[in-house]
Amino acid sequence: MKTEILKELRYALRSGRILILFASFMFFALLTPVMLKIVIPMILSGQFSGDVQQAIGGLTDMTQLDCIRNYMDDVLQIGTIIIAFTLCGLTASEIRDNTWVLPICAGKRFGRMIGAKLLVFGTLLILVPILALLADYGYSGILYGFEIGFLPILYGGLLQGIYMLFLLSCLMMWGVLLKRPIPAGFMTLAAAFGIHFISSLLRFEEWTPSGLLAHANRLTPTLDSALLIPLVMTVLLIVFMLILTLSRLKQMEWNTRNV
Amino acid sequence: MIKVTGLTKKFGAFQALNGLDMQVKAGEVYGFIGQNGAGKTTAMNILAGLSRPAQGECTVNGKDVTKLTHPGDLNIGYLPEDPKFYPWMSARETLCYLSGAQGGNNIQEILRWTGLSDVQNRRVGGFSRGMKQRLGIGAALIRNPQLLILDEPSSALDPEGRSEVLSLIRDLKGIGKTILFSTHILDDVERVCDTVGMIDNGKMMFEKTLAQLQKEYTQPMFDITPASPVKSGILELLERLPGVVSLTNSEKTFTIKVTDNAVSVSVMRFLAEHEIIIENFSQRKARLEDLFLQGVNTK
Repeated sequence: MKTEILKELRYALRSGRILILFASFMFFALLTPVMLKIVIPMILSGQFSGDVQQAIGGLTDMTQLDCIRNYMDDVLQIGTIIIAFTLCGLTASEIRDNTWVLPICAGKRFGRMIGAKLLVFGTLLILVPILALLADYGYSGILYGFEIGFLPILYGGLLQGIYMLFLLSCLMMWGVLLKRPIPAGFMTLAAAFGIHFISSLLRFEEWTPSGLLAHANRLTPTLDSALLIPLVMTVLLIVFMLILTLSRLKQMEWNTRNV
Repeated sequence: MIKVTGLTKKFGAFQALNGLDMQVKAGEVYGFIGQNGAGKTTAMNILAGLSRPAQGECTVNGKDVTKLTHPGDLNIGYLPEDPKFYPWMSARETLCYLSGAQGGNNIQEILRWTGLSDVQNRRVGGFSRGMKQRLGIGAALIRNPQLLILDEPSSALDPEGRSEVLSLIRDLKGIGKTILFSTHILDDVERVCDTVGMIDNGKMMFEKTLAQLQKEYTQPMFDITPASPVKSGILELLERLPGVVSLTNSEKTFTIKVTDNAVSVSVMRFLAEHEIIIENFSQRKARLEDLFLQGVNTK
């Protein structure tokens, strides 16, 4: 499996996927504190007359915790879109472009090829949210003062990362089912936002991967036992999607002209 | 090495293979010829385990293709018509990835043998079609298989590239590999094949040794263009002349295949007797189309 992992690493580096994901998350992580501390008060000050500071005080009275939570909401919304469209070709492009024909004829196993993608991009998607959250924590701490510890940030980042693994599995599954990158990206977005919206509306968020984001947003210093349910559900969903991906790949016909 | 009986394959309403039979013996170079869309690639995809037939029996390398769980289990080398590589990988990285090794003598040997040693660290995205084709042959050889299935390895190349690829095939034959390769260029078949199979509309038209085929297509052919259309009754009489093997009629010209050049005298005499004015009378060597048309007629 070493060569499969090496191949995915090369792809992530040479196609710029690592850079896109890292830069996007860092952009939001570093921009959110500045927006909340400087840009939004500036914009709002132009909207009020009289005692400006008093008028906008209530609207912009932020803490480090509020700032971090604001960023974490962005991760669900914009981060999901960035991931969906940056990695939508992970399996779909391989099938559409017939780049898997030579490897499978050379004896490469689907399990290993999918496993290598999951390992490389999964690690990337766990590391990037943690690093971005740490950057947000540090920068918002400088601007607003440090009010929470380091550990909740690590937990929060890790939970976001596990949620990203769910997105990754979803992208790979839709890629194999639809064989087209952009529709796979849209279907993943529909699944992620659909689950989030419906589970919030019907109050069963704890039973879905969105529950991980809710737990991450709490930024508690210790891991809650209630976390077990969304964690197990997410792992089960990931396993289910991977099994579906592999079984579809085994049934597929290759080297077709009009994919 | 390969035994195919009654292979069928359908894509929607289109019947791509219609009861194909073929046999490739160990150690031979088998030229699989046919026009574009005849079913060559569909057949080769099935033989490589990449596609499943609707019906029929297909044994490759001693394994039943219809019961295969993974194409890689066939342990053959396969080169698709248009091999797709990762453009961001170098030639060496590509071969290392496909072999599952980090390098070593085997990779270096394949790079040297395919003439890619000097460009082994260049990204494949910048390769010419010929270089990609050679890398594809290298990729097919990565597991040192006894059987190689090459889909149109030379068709899209310039004369120099074609010559290089055919030379590689000859070398492979020299080291005892069995090769099935498809083409629509008769010259290529003549240069490297032992046996030739012609497919049309998903069906095998004929399967002959090159020696047999050469004997047939070295017979002279005359292209005759009459000044005005000739009645079909007269053409039927012409076809029955002693020494005439076959007659194929196209829009303006009819082509006669004869046993030897001396028959041209009786053909000319026949045309004169029937007062057929000739615009053009020429002799030439048979082309793939002639073999194809003859195959259709004899079927």
